[in-house]
Amino acid sequence: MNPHTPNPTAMRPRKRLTRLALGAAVVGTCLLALTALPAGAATLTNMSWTVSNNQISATNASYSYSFKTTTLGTIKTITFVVSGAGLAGTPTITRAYGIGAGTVSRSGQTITYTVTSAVAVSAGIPIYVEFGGLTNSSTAGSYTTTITTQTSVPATIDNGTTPAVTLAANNTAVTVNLAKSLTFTVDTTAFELDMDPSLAALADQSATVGLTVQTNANSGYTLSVADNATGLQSSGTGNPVIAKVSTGKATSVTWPGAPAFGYTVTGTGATIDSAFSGSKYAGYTSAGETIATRSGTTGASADTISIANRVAINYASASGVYSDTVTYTATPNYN
Amino acid sequence: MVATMLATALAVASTATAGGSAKAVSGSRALAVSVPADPVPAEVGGVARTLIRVVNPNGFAVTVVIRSRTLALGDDGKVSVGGGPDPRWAGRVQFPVGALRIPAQSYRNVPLAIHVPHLSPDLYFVGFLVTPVATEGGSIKVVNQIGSFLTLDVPGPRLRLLTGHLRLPSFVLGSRASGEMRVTNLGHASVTMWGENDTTSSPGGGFQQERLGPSLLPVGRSRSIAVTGKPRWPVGIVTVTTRVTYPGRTAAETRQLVLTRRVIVVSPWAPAAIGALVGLLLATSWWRRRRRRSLPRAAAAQHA
Repeated sequence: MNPHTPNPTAMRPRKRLTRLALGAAVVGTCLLALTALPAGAATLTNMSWTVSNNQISATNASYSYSFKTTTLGTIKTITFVVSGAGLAGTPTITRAYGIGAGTVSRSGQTITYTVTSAVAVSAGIPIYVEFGGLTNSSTAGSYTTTITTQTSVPATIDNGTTPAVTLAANNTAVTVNLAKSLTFTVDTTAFELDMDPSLAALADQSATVGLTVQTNANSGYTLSVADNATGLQSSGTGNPVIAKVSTGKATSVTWPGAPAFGYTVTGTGATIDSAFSGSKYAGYTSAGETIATRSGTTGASADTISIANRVAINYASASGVYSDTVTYTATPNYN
Repeated sequence: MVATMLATALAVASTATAGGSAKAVSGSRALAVSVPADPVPAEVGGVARTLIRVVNPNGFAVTVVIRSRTLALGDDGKVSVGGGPDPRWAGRVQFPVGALRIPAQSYRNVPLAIHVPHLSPDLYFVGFLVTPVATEGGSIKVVNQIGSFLTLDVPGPRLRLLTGHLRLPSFVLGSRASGEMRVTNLGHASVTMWGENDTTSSPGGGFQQERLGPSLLPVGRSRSIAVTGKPRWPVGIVTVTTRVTYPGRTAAETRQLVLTRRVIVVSPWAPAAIGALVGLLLATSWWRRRRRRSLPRAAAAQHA
């Protein structure tokens, strides 16, 4: 046997490997070529157009557009060409998602959103743009908007036409104004503690006041509490007071015993101030202090906050009627 | 009998149980206050007209007083009502002088005319407090009052500027990267901002867009927004891009604050799975080696 003749049995797997590698390279090159080809204008997907008021000639109407890009491209402008005639108004940008900062202008039936710095947007990115300050056409009928994304050249990247919107004179425009509201309930508007230092059960007592708060304010609410500057004071000789358990929530303490007047807070839904964790008590302040907050709407379920007011006395406490006014203030946060 | 009676009115302390003798002398009281959700347009030198609605959901009449109050706007939307009237609106807005009686399960719309002084274009807040008149009786009275505010929008171009930080760790052993974006208003006017939190994962792509609704940021205030990103696979690099968009000088232009961070996210069970796989491979290799050694020995034994 010629020692230079290659062994065909040994060559078979190597050949197979080479063929496989070649095949993979061809497929890969084809795929690469397909993806790298300069894309022609494709059709935008998931297109929608809504109008806040579809009465003809309605002023200050909002037009909201949403769509998905189909082609990767560097968008400089997006044009929204409304069919027909009679579009008016000076548009403003109420909201824009999926696209960079920009400016808006209108010329005839064309609203142009110009991106300040052209931005590369991948395929399949959802874009939402809402314009305010527009005036509907005075002609009743069915209208569509053709949306086109363009480069700075300008060259069209993608385009498409929205489903139709009907502007009419004989329809009923419905506007629902939902007020920003807060409901605040207290389950006890006044209470008494009949106390007696001769018996432990009567010398240290608590009265729990239940509060509920419900609001649709997006940023929730703040709940604070204050009492009279004089505190829990008797109108008797010398106007004696039952000392506050602390000077405020910053110096909250575990219950120290008589004589003392203080409160602790528990609750569900709201975030209770950490000063009250571990059943710590604080004294009321006349300036008021925040005891609970919430950073979002309460929804349909009200937050519940329980304030346990505790008074402890001993024989050093002068007899008499002691009174105070505790004021809870709930304030909706700004959105 | 010399007994120290506090907050007396009932001399029946002897019948009290160990729980004490706390006694509610009057029941619950609910109150609601509503204001317009959107800012009221207010031309300088003009009169802005709006209303406050005070609602009495109780089965009995409630008497309330409405007073002007200063407002302190804090970070993250927090509002606190001050102790006195707001001097900015003194003489410019007239709240009802006397107490208002609201019948059971009814409401009162309180119209307000606000005389707008010479102010630069911005949002302005008119604070007020609705206080129910305290119930008679009981030594400790409890008042549930509601502080609220009206928002006025003085139109015109404004100087708006936001700055921000995106706080995210660079490595997370867990299923997702969590952090916060802190945006601060350094401009000269309040800003209504919106934004989005875009995350992509490598490997696997998986673009996700989380939209953030509009929120107000007064001058000098900050707001934190929670940011999360999840990789497509148990191990991945998550790129989190937060975009905060806000109006420029006018509402016809916007500005954007773009913050990007990359986070390596490793699921806690991924190292365990890799460890198990390595262990399995080692065990297989050891078993094979052992088998290879034992086969010649067995063959030799057969020959013998």
